[in-house]
Amino acid sequence: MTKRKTKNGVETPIRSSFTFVAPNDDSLIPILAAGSGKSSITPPSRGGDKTGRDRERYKERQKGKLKGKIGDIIGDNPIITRPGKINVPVPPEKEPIWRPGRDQSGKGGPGKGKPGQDAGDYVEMDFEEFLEMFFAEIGLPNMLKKMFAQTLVKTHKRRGLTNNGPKSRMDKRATAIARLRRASSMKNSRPEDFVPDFAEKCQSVFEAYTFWAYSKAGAETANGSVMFPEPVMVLIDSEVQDYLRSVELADESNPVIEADVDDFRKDVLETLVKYLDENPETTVAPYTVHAALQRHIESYVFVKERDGEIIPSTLEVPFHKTDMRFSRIEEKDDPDSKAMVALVLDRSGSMDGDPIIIAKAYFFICVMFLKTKYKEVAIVMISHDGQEYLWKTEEEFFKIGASGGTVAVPAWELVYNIAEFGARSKTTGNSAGPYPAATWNRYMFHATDGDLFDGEDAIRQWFTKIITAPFNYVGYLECGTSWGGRSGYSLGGQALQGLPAAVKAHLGMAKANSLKDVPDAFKQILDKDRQKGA
Amino acid sequence: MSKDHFEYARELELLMMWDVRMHAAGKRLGLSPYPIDYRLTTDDGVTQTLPYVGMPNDYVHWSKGKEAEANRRQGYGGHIYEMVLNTNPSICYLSTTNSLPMQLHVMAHAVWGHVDFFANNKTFAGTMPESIIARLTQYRNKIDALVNNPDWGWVGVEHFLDACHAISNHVGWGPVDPEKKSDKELREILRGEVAELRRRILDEGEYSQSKKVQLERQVAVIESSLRRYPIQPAADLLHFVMQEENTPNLPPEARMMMSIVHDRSRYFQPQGRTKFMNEGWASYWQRELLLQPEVDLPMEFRFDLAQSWHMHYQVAVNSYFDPYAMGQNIWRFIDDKYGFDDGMETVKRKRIVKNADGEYVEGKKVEKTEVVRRNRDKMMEIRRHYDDNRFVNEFMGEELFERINLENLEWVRRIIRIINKTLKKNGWNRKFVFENPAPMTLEDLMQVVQVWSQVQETSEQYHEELGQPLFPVPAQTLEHMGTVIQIVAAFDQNKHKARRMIAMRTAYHSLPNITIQDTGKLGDGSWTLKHEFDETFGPLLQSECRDTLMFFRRLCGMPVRLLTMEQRTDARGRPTGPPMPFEYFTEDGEVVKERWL
Repeated sequence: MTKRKTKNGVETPIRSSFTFVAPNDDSLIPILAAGSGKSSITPPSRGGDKTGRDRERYKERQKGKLKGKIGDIIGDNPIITRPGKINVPVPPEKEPIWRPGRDQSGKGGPGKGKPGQDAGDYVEMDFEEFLEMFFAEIGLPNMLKKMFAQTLVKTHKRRGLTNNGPKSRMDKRATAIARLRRASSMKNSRPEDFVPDFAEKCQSVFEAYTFWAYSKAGAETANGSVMFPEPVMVLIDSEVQDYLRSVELADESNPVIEADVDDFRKDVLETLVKYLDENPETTVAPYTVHAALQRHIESYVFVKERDGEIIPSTLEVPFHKTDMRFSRIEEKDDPDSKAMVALVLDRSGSMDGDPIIIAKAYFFICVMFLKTKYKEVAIVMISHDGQEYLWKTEEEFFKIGASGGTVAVPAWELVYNIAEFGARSKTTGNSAGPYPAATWNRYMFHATDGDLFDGEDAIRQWFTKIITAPFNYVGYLECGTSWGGRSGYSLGGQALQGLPAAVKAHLGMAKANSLKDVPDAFKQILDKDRQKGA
Repeated sequence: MSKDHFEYARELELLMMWDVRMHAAGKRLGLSPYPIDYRLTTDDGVTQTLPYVGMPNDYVHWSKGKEAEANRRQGYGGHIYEMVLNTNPSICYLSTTNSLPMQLHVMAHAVWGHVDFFANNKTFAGTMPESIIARLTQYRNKIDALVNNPDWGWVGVEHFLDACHAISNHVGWGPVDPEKKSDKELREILRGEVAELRRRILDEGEYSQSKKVQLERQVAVIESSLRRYPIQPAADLLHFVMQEENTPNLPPEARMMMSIVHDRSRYFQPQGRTKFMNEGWASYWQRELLLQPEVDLPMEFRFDLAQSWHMHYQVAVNSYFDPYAMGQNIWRFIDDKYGFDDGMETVKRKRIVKNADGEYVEGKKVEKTEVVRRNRDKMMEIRRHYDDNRFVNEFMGEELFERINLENLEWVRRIIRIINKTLKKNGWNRKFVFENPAPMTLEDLMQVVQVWSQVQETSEQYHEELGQPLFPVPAQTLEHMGTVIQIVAAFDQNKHKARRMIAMRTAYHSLPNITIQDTGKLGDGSWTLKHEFDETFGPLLQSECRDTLMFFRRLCGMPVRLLTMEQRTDARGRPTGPPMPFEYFTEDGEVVKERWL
């Protein structure tokens, strides 16, 4: 540490002083403080989050653990009625070290960390991320994925023009026209600023022509590039060729033919360069310098004048940012229509476990499809064992009831009544409806393990009644009962197979033993959905 | 200069005024910290630096993200009093929500305690505090570059980085001995010894069978160690694995990551190894320094700070276990024992006056005052040469314990008197008042505490049910009193055991001692690690032990075993018998096999 001697020869330590250091500027500290032995102080900086990148990476790792957990996620979250942020518990990240201690129980085992104990043991998931995972997991065919993608987001169409936007959407033609319009009005209001007579117009056309021809040819003069207008317009680059050609073709009696264009331009440029080299004090050549080009230019100006079109050079009226025109993107809303969905779920004990998750996935994807199709979707949730239950929340809806005989007729009756007249559940006291066919598109989806003991006639009768009520579509899913190795439908499905073709036209039937089978079950709705008024 | 500079200008100016005054006092007392880079920081800002232990520009890793995310979710990290880094110039965070007296307290504690200690203790000699921030920045950039490299990416980087973190505690102790013989040299020496022994077997063995057997045993011992590589066990695991001759198949990038983690661990290690000394030193000076005449602390501030100074003594048990309290106890003990007053000296100072705004500022007039010069040479010497291990072992002896025990027992008696008085005043049953005669022996004291603990418990129950009055003292205080009495009793019974129990809590002792015994270079190619079992801490945590061994396998690239001791248990999980040798072994890094040896 340096010390300073006073006049008396007494050592006094150098005093700290009040030094300003830019917040977060670590590079300056050694200079300010290390050498001088002084302390420095920095005021607090505001905002910013230094931990951002570390946290991002941590979350990314946590999300990697979600693979294969889709079943749990569907089972634990109300995805049908309240899609939103989804929290998924995951085992905490481990940072093992060698340290003394004992595992909780006996000899312990790998992955002892209990979810719910450690902080950061759950992953927050957006609904979009969930959808992506869900589609990947059930193996939705690409065609269907596309359909969801198109209808889920609002459609975008280019429609009209606006004055600002990203460069990629710029409309060059409209921009050029806008500049001409502006030039025309400028000329009307202040003619004195513009080229007055024919010769000068020719001169300005000549200058523009030689500028573009020069820049296209990439030639150089002996005394540098000085005689041309400022290179302002990279923008209309694609139209330069048109401009050059239109000048070259203007003399109709003697147009420059395509094959000679390069030679012609070269000849012009050589003449020009030669003139400029001979007259080093000038920076601009007169348009009369090249006899052939002179004729072309005069014809060009003459024709344009005759047509009443003004020819502003880019030098006179350069492009201005107010000339820029961009395509406008319009968001299109979905059609204004309404649908009612009755979800009927078998809540008998045999549905517990996988079947109920398959059923939930099936309901979810169907409801989601309807939501892309209709602006308003009303969901009616009815479960049944021996009786019907109308629920208000998804959590209650997916709860398994007592085991016992399973009959579905009370539930179907309730669906029918709710849709036609509005009705009240005898067991839960909740009520819903009515959803008259005149204003509502009506759907029913039924998920069961198929062991319905209503009798074939009753089943057929009720399905016919519902489909001809009319409902747009009725889906029937038998899920997860591969016990006994049955390959065909069980009681419920067998009964439905005997329905007349007219009714079956709006009935989708499927069996699903795993989540992978759900898309097949869902796909039938695409063919058999009854289009109203179509 | 931003708007912030003007907003905080007055506060910054005042702080620097006090800094100058403390500087004058500290210099006279023989303290020499690094220059300080004070950073006034919001509470939020300090919390954000917590996962990085305060270091700016630390490299990106999910483990820090995990901590930061937990802090955010739990809303943790309200107020951090002090954080100071071993850098030169030293970065000292000052919280914007501290009051001015509190800022002075933090400055005295951090700068004149910790930074002085960083700058002068020999344990910190190898940490290179001038360059640590530049080094960390470089490491951060290197790791970023590797992450952006498509051949590596996050997955590739973390594959090795996570493994390095798992063994980052095992980076050896202290500086490397420059005269340490290389493995090759040692091998030569031992081979020479074997040759010599064989010659002697031929010479002397002829005459004496017992001599021959003895010599042959010696040869066998040396030869068995010759079959190992390295001959001397390596305690710095990361450094050993990092060497190309030991792990020829590792990519150079992995070596780079190991060296990064190694350097970072070595940098932080001294702080763990001097916790008691360092905190004690800072706690000692935070008070001594502010009371010097050069600082001229206003009386108002002294009242504010009295509580902070006493913070770690509020609970008497802390004086045995808390690094702040125990450390300070030892330092004060040293000061009392070896320090002495060494004449007077004259000090020039400007008095502190109150200005029109009610702020305390420096007056204009310079005045002289006399102070006692305290000789602290012994303390300064200890600060330079000791670490926790030696510090605690040397000074935490009978004499100090007697002192602390006396103080603490006095505290217990005082609390008993207070409780007695309160009980009488509130009209409690006289049988709960222990007054005449007052309890004196440890047994009596313990009995009193036990009786009151019961009364306290029942009174709480009755209070909830019937609304009867609560016992005037919370259960926690009674518990502390009990602990103090127990410790004193344990000390009376067996001084050495009690002392060892407390000493073992310091200085990284709980870190298991694990060394590389063999890399199988001259054998079957499998590595052998050995854990020196310590019965105070017991066997290793099984689940983490397995995971860490698999991580080690990832770095060394060969089958690896860990020899340790494990407790046998009966069917109900109760320990039976003494710990027995035990082996964890992994062949492929995915499965760990375990067996008794």
